[in-house]
Amino acid sequence: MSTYQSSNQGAVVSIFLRGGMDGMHAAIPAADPQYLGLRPNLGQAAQAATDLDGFFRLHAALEPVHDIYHAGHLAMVHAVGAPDSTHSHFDAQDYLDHGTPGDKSTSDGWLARAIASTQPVSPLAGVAMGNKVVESMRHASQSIISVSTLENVGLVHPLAGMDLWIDAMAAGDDLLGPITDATFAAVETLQALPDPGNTNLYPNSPFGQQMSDVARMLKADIGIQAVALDIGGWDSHADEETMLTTRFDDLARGLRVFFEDMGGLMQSTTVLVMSEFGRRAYENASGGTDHGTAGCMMVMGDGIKGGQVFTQWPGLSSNQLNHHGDLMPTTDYREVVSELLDARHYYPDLGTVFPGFSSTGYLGLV
Amino acid sequence: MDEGRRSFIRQSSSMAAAMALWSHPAFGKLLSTAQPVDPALSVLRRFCLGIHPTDVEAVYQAGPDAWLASQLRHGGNDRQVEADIDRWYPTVGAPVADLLAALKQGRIETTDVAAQLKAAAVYRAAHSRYPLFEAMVDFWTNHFNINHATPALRVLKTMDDREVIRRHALGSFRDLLHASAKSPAMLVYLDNATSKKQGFNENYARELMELHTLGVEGGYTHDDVLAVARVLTGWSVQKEGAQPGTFTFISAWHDYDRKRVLGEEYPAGVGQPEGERLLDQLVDHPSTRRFIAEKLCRRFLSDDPASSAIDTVEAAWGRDGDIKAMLWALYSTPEFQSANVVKFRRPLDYIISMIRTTGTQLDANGVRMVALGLKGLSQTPFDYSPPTGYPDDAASWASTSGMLLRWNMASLALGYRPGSPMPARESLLRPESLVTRRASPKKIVKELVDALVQGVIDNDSHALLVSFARERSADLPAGSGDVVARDVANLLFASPWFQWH
Repeated sequence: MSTYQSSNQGAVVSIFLRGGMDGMHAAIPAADPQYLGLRPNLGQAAQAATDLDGFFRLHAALEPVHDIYHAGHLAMVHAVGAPDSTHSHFDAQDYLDHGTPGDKSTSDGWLARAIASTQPVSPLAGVAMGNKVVESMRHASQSIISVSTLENVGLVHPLAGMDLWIDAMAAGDDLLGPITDATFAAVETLQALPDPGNTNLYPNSPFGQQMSDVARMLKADIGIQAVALDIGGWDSHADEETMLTTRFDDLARGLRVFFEDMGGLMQSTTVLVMSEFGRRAYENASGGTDHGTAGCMMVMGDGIKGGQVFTQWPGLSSNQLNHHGDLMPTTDYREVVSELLDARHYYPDLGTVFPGFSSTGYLGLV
Repeated sequence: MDEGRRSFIRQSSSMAAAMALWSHPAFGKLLSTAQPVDPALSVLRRFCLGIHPTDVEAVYQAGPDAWLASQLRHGGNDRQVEADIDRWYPTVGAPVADLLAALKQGRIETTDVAAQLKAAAVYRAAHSRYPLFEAMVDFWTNHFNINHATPALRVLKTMDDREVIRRHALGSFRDLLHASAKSPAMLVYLDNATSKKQGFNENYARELMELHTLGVEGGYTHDDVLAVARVLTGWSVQKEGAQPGTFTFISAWHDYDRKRVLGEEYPAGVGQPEGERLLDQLVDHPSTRRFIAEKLCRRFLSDDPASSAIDTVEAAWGRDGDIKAMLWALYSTPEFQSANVVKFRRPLDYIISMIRTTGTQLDANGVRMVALGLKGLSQTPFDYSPPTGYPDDAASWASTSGMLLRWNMASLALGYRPGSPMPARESLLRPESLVTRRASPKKIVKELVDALVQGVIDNDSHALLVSFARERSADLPAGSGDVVARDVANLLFASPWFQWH
């Protein structure tokens, strides 16, 4: 029984692939008759890819999650996107982070709003990995803890009570006062985390390190409802096969080890992987793809109806692509996230998470 | 957490009563309770990454107007600083041909070239007598962001830094943009170097308009992105040949068909000159001057600058985007002199401020420590991957882990190590050098407040520091004035007074 009871349950780990991950290179629509014509070079990757459902194939570098998919704990959602599409990374990221596609005036993030809507008790309800606070975790009143590392959490200065002096100096600063309070509250909890045991299995990368830290915190039952983390470097305008092979490998190994490390906790944990947009259906002369519209998401958790690619595949012939030559979005990404928050994690108020959005029917992920 | 003691500390300095005043979510409320900011200090606090004691001396000697005029007139490489850089970081000034030859012969690695440029950036920011120039170098470095992501970029960014950013940092936006568009590092970073008529690459074309000139709201369409990409096909980098690593126009890759960009016709049959024309069209577009003016205001005034201030800066654009004139205009706005308009220090500003305010002279080892500090705080020069450059707003940087790291960074720089009760005598920062020998706790605080935050602090915080200094003085063995000075500096570095420009 958790010390931090709240109306919802479990934790959402939201992984944002910054730069526009090419969904068509992750879950490759190898059986689409237009595919190889659009991507004569990049499309060679389909040969080494492994089968997902007879139509889509999983890029070879994502192989570490293939077992989890076939065991039914990982689902792919394809041709997914935001209704207000833009080819600007930064607008598209804003739309997703703030949960209000088309409206740039929203200042707080969807994940922070979701947490705030449950009026959490734990000071660590929302955790953003890294030193910069990701936009999905910004909120005017919900305190968010950022975690760069779990090594040596605490003050270096030896004076007992230095924290109180720092806190007193910060009082009255409307931004830094609350952050300082939150920092010391978090430090107290994080210093008491049990030893993580062997973490060597995680990839030796910033993402691997962060996933290891996330697992360590979630296992300690400290009231975390949501964690946000970013992986950069998905903007594959050139030499995409090389670039994404490295990225996919890191992502998939990190997810695989996390899944195994978490064990039974995956029953109440959902990992959500998304990106601001997919890429152009056809390749360019640099061996890459330019910015597109629809892409693919991954959802991982014990109890997720995995082992399938959820999609209303729009097709790749020129009249099926949008007028820029992008994969047409047929599923609103908010449909995916709403279902998880509602049916798996029992969030009471989706209206504040995605204002103005109403579901047209869940996909059946849960 | 000892709540009783915490509230005791607060009340003992009447902080609790003062808190009631701050009902609006703005740090400006806190600053405005301090004494009004001296115009001489405004110009330093806003325009410098960190304030060196000699900067303060210079501005008081000349007056703020003359100081600014002199910074703009002479701003550039500081000869003394460059002499050290030539000696310690020789690749920074090396011609591209020499660098490529040394790499080919295995005399250096691309990672050395990158590390030397990073170190030089730190050293220049810490020691240049032209802090405004270095602040503008930082501004344009982020505006035209390129990171050390690949072996090619680790080498080519050195030339971009020297011949694009530093050469034009206080010149005209037109020259800067033309130089950047032909910079091999930029052409590689945003993939234009491989853009050919058949299967052209849109990456640079889009960011050129979205991030470098018009801004995302600047009024271009998807078709404009495609047209700009076609105009710039063939703008590439020589790989082999007479001058490897330099700009080249590859005619065979260029799309010579007609195009239409932002409503203007580009006739068929034109090669490189249509790219030059395009850059001029972008420089002359009204969205560009608005976008640059606003960005300057956000950098030097606040995260949400008044539109009247942006108007003022925009009006100083002139024909070519006169950077000096825009900085003068910025200086002339009421917001520039207002204590209510504040800007959060990014990690770079925070660390450079610690170095400069304490008058610390870095040696090569000190530069390494600063670089490690920047890495810990996630703002290593030339390491930001997205083309936006590092964010500069408070919402991005004011985080719990970010603050904890700042407090600890200060302790480490002052000679503390985890678990050690006393600071090491040898340390990066020695604020005791700013304090009169055998000074009382009260005097230590006064002298450090003057040096480290230029006296900008309110009475409550000042009183709190004095209580702290007295308590430390009483706890430590006699003759520990140096440690008291370091601890007061540590608390000041950790406080809001040191986090805002």
